[in-house]
Amino acid sequence: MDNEKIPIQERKLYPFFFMVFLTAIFVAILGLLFHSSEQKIKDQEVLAYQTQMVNIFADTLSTVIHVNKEELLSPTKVAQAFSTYYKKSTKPLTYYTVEANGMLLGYCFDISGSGLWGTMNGFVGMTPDLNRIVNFTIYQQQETPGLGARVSESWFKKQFHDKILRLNGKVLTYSLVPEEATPATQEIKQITGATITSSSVSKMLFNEMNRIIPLIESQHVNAKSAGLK
Amino acid sequence: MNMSKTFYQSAIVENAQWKQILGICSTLAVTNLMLNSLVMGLSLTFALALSSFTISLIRDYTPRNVRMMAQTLIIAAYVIVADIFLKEYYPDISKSLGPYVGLIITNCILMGRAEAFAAKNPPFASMIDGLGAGFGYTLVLLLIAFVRELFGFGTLFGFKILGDWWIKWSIMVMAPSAFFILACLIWLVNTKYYKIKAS
Repeated sequence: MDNEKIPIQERKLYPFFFMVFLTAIFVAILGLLFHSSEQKIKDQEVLAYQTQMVNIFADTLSTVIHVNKEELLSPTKVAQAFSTYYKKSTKPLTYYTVEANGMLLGYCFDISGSGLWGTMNGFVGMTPDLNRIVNFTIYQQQETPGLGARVSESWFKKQFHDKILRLNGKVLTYSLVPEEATPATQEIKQITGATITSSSVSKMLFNEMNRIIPLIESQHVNAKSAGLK
Repeated sequence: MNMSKTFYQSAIVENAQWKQILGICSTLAVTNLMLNSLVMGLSLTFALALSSFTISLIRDYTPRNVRMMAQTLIIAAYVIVADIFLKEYYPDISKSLGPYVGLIITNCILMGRAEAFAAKNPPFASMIDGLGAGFGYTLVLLLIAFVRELFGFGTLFGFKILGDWWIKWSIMVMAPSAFFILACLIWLVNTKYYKIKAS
């Protein structure tokens, strides 16, 4: 055979082995790198999630447990506060019950809805009677930067603080008023230039809470009747 | 070849954006803020310089018929490194850049430089060429972001420049504005820089 005379680079299977070899090297390097940083990235995501959720009840919590709000939200304390005061339930849906010093402070729900470009996710904190919003925040969105993305700004979120969501057992639909106006009970300030995003927030709150509240209430009724037996 | 000449050639004379019109997609997407543009530019420069270096290093062993596959693999590896680094140390910036760091893999500038330069030149010169092209890309991104952030947000790198009296231009925060600014930039460079150079 004159196989030996052909230089290695011109052999038929050389490109195949070359690619396999190259892929193996790079996959190994990336695998190692990913493995070493995976935990840290996950931890950061969890911390960001918990910080947002603790932030919802931060005002109420800090007065009940007599801790400074800034201290409560410091990166080193958030995980502890979260595990102490937030109790996760998975039935009939995933939500958190917030309790401190034996007092029920409210409930926290993870809600989602469609925005202009994609799904928006938010947290709603509700009072124990499920009639008022404690706080509301959008923690994930893909809205237009500078316009719709302003749903993450504090002035927009603040208007939901202590807002009536349910009146006489019915979930309210919020209508939009201009940014400079003072909204009434059934109104929220919209973001100038981002009407679709603003109304999506209003729709998302209405749809999700209309779905969630009856579920939670029926569960509580069941729990009570079970307790009577 | 002279190193500084290589750098100047790929950064300015043959700038990927105003001369070759490559890598435009990310130019439109991430130039709304100066900080995003800077981080995007640095990530691309990192991936470009190192992938050019590696591609050039193995160029004599790379079979011609699978060279593009190999190039894409190498580029993807470095881009993922940059992406993991940002996620680990700068999660906020990583979040605001969204998928665009990962999309550097498909950026035409990288394949362009790999084919046009790194596949034929020694490793060190290829790295300089990559650094140059990356610098040129970052420069264009920052120029566009300067206009967009200043008029759209009234800030630069997040610092307030224009006061509350400034009425923000909504068009500047949307992607189409980058089209107009890029077009103006290309026009300016072509009429001023290349005309003068030619004469």
